[in-house]
Amino acid sequence: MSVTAEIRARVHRLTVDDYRRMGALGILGPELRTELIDGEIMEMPPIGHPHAGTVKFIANRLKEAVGAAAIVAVQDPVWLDDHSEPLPDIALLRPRDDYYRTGHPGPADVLLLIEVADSSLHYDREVKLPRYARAGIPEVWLVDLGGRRLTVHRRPAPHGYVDATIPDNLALVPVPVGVPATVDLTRLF
Amino acid sequence: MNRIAHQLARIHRLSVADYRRMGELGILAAELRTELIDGEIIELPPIGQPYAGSAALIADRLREAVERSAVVALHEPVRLDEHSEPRPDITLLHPGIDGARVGRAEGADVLLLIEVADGSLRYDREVKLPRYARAGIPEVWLVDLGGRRLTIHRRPGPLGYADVMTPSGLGAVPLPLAGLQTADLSGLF
Repeated sequence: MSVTAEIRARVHRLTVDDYRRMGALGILGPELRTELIDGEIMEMPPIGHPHAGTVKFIANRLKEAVGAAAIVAVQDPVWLDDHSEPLPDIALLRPRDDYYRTGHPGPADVLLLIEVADSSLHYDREVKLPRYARAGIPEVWLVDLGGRRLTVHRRPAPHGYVDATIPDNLALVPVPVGVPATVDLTRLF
Repeated sequence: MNRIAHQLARIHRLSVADYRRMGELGILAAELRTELIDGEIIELPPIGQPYAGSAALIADRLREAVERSAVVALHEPVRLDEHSEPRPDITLLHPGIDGARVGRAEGADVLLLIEVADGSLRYDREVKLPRYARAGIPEVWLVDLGGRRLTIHRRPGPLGYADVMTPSGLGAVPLPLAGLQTADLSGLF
């Protein structure tokens, strides 16, 4: 084992509860955008405008498409397990009267997560997707801005998503909200 | 976390102040033995034998040798810089140090650090020694229990210690004190 691997093996892993307390107590300042992945705090890069604009575009289109059938959350935390609480770009959540004021959504609350990737493509694909799959998140869309490609990942399993498909028509992308719904993402790229 | 995540994203590095607050607030439980290395919390293995006995023996012999010319601390943290506060096995501190500062010592308070390595030899040598050198800790002893060897590291520089030597005998190991005292470490191995 390399000494780097040895250090990694010994790093103290925070729980989601530790991590939230660090935020509440100001140890993680409000200026920081972070997520907790396997007990380690990762810093998110500042959001550039192509990324930010794409997130706004998708979030608004989704809201139009799903109406009251789901809550659209943008860059809010979703917990996956005791040691991971990432910040997906967009989360489509089961409707709840309290809008999750009483607790962040967990895997059972999530219908769909969307990650918009520019420089973060590898991180999203290699680190976040497998963890979403392991937590049983039913569907994830990965928007690759550089490659101008949307991939839809379904059938979560312990090692990743079994199905990855590219929708053949961006004008009619099916949205998993329990009722038949599609979203028009024609001008996504 | 797997190493991919570290290659692809930036881990959030805690400051020594953050780390200490986590201890004070109970986010790091009192029973956890940890140290902060480059902003990451590293868990120290539980203290077992023969490691504990060796550290106790050295501390005792040092106390006899130094009398009032230095303070001997066992397993107390030493702050090296903004992001590192390791917990060396034994620390020899300037005699003038305020009692309250013993657990909050800084590099400038240190005359000598001693690391007792059983399973941790590589970590001590490759991770901790270079950081001690960079922080200007004047002298470090590395006690390799497996190899039955004491090495003395002197002349710290940005890349490590320039001088490494093995004392000719353990009966009178010279201490870095003005009075030229020596420690009798016979029976260490």
